[in-house]
Amino acid sequence: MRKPRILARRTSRELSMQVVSRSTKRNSAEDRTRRYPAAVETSARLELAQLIADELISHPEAVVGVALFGSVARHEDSDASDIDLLVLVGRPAIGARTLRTFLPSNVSTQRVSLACYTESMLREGMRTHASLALHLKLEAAILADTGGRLSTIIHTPIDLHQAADAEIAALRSSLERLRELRQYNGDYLFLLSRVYRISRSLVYAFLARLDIAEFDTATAFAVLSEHRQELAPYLQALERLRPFSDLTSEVPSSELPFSREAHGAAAYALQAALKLATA
Amino acid sequence: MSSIAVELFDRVDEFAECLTANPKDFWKDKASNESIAVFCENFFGQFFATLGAPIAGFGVKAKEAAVRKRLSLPESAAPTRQLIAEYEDLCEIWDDIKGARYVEDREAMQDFACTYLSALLEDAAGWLATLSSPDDKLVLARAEQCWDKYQEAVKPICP
Repeated sequence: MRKPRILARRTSRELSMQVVSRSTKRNSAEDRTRRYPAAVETSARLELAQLIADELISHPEAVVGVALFGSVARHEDSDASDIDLLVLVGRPAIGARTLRTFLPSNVSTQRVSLACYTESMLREGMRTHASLALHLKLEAAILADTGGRLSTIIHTPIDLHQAADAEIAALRSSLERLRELRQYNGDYLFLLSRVYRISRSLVYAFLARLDIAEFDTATAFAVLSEHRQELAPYLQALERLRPFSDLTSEVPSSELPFSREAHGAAAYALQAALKLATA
Repeated sequence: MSSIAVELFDRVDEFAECLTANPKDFWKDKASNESIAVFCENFFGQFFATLGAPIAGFGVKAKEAAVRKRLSLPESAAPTRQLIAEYEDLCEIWDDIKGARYVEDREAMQDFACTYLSALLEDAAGWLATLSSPDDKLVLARAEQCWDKYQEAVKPICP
């Protein structure tokens, strides 16, 4: 028996209206939008990231610091890359949706990813996610930082081995949720995309466990293969899945290594990831 | 074969169980975030496959294609159009709730749990009710069971 809705919800139309009213409120800020370039190359993305950080930090009641990380920070970005910003917020109730209301409307149409943390969440995140800790320690560019609080957290020494172990355990749990192959009804695209992303995180965590920090996304699988040769066949199989991940992210992708409906190949990829997670 | 895999609703149950067990910090549970992301991705993947319009993600281009598909359907296909509108809404918020490893966005997950998912489950049941195969009837029964459980689980966390 269907029940009446007990929770308020926003329809597409209401969401659209919300966007319109938000834009209208921002009319006074329209002049500022001209400062925001279309981010089509690294230098433009870096400039845009700084402008966004300046805008966010002008709301000191909400934002404490902003750092750029990911492919743009590494200057490895492509046309479809997100600008990944870590935002240190004053309280946990502030999320990406609120932060986007601080930005001019033409920014929200670009690929900007806002990862929000309070200070305690970020400290905990770095203690339990070696790949996050490595990313931030190796590549984060601090764009805004009230009182140096964000910089202090990023540069506080942590036990990377412990963080790697915690992350691997969490990723193993995530993989468990993917195991039931019947749930995909014969189309494994989203499974393969997730398996690739989880595997990439596993690789970073294993490298952290080996005290290896000199790698990038293009070489991480190969670097781990050199150090853990018994895992090489699995790593090779998992690295091949990248086009599935690119496809789901609307990133221009190379040809898929096999069909998204290939049951045997999907099952093998999942097994390879589970092998890696338990290595 | 059913239009939607019945096993997929187990992922919603896992998310509901996390809400019940940990209403204060449910949004920090990466495994349950993974569960609900798996449900959303594959539910819509399978739904659009039944429409002959397969999707590959939840980005800007995917949303534009969905809008075109929705507008091409007659008003008599209201449950289908409504579910496509749910997909369009999800494309808007997907970056914030997709279960990214690093992001623990309480605001986004609270909105998602209290507002979005409940509506999606109801509209999913509404659409499944329009299908006639015996396999789909079984999925409908499972979806309604799942929705009942979720409604109970989500009450304590929603204002």
